[in-house]
Amino acid sequence: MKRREFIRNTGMASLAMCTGDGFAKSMPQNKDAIIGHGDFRYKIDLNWGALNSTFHPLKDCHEMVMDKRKRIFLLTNHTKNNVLIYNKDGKLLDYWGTEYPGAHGLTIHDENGEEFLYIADNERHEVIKTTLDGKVLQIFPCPMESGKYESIEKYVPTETTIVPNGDIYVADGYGEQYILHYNAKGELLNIFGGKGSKAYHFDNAHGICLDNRTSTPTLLITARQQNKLKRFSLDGQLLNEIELPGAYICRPVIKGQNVYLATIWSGDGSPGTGFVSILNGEDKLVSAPGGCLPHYEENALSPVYQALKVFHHPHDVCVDDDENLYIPQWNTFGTNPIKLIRV
Amino acid sequence: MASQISFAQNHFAKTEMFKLSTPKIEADSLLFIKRATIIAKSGESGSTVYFKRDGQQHTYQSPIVLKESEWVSFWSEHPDFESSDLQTIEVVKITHSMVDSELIIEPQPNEAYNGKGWKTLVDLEKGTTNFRNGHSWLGFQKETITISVKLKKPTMISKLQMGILIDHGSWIFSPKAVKVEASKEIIGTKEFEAPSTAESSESTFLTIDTIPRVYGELVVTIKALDAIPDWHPGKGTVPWIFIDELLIEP
Repeated sequence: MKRREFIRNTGMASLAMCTGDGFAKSMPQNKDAIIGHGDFRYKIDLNWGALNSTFHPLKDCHEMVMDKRKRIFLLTNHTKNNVLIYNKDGKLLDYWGTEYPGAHGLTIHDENGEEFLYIADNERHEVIKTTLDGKVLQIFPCPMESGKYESIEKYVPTETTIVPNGDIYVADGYGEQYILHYNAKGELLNIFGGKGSKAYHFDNAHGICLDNRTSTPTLLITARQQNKLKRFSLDGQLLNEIELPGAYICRPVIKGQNVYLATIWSGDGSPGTGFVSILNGEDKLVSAPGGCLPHYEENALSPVYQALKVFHHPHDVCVDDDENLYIPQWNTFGTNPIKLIRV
Repeated sequence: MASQISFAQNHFAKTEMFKLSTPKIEADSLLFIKRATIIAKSGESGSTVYFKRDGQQHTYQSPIVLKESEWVSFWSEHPDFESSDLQTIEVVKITHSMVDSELIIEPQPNEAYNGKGWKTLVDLEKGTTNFRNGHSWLGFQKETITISVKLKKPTMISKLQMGILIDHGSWIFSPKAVKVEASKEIIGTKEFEAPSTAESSESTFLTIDTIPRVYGELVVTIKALDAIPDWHPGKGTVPWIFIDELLIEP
């Protein structure tokens, strides 16, 4: 039996072993909850990575990434432990970081066999490159030389992505909405995006990732308040937009042919209305764990909204090699991430 | 004391641990002149949507048409999941438009939440709980806000309604008091209790009865709570007030 089949059947097997009228009446009260749609359906582990907050307090849990050793890195803006490192079972392996009060974006990049982290800190107004154990290697400050910023405070980076040649793209998602393109030395090469009403402008350029699913790599960038993903060439030309009405998407995460997006709010954007969005290789929403069934009419997605209160404010999705998901949440009472186990 | 909490290996969450979200409500207009149509749906397969009107419970089956101002509450139920919270909407029939009125607001709203200026209060567009998007709200973090209204022509007024937002998570609270004056005479006033716990986010109306009379000018004074209550993380600071629409009724 394959692992996913085993997980799918576990609930049924445990119920089948228990018989009797009394139990039969309570059976519906003992079902494993399953969320999502189509082939992307999940059981829910609310206890994954639960910590004693006396020792390891969490504030906003912003992003998570997995390294080659299958360790999962969680970034929180609590300066007692900005980076917490877990195994896939949720066991805390290590932690570090006390100097990232605005820890928001976390990207991992394999550079000639060695992995590095990029932390976008929106209170320090800079991006910091570190080793996996927290040694600071490089800082990308506010690019005042660009002439685009009146002050350092106007630069509020939220996310980074690194392309194969080592160039770095920074999304200024809470600032002036520019996408800043640097080479590996930290020299600014290009700026695009920004505020405005043109299609290439952004309202909350919150997340960015490299999309290398086709022979020509592109950038996928969220315009969160516009409920859109925007695809750009690496030289900053807008190629197309993917409309996700009602979905306030944080950052795109690509695994295989799919794009996973924590959707922090939905519907009219009210608090506590988040879920997870999963797109297929044709950029169509195929599953929304915690959200409504995706529905397309004449190739347009009907506005999406929350169906079940599993999530409050999901902020990122980390996908492991079993295609299970780990969901950290913003402004959710310092709770641990939720793990979704694919069935 | 352990730094990590241990749980049994198989601890998938059960259905009864989760609550249905409130139904998605679509109204063609929350402020209407002739009629408003409301559509409700639940995103969870197997759910049933119910609604309550005039104290009577109904199963939702088709769009609801309203011809008078009314409150309608919706909720969802499902055999496996906890029932949703109530989602109550207020649909208001407009009897007197104030579109042609002139307003002066003092002080000005915060520049991040200045909507369409004073016209935000008379544009007949009700803001939703998503105050970050669009231009439907005026947001203030001030102790007192004064709105001077000059009606296009003298009008019989017995009631004033003011659209407000409640979103405690975003430090937005209902006012402490609203006072309505005409020719320096107080013609209506109402005080509101500070909430003792966090309430659901809501876009709603405050209603202030006035001395029924014909008026040409009004001055509406809004007093914020002295401070955010002690139970809230923002305790001690002046809360935000968000307003979006002024309506009058004869």
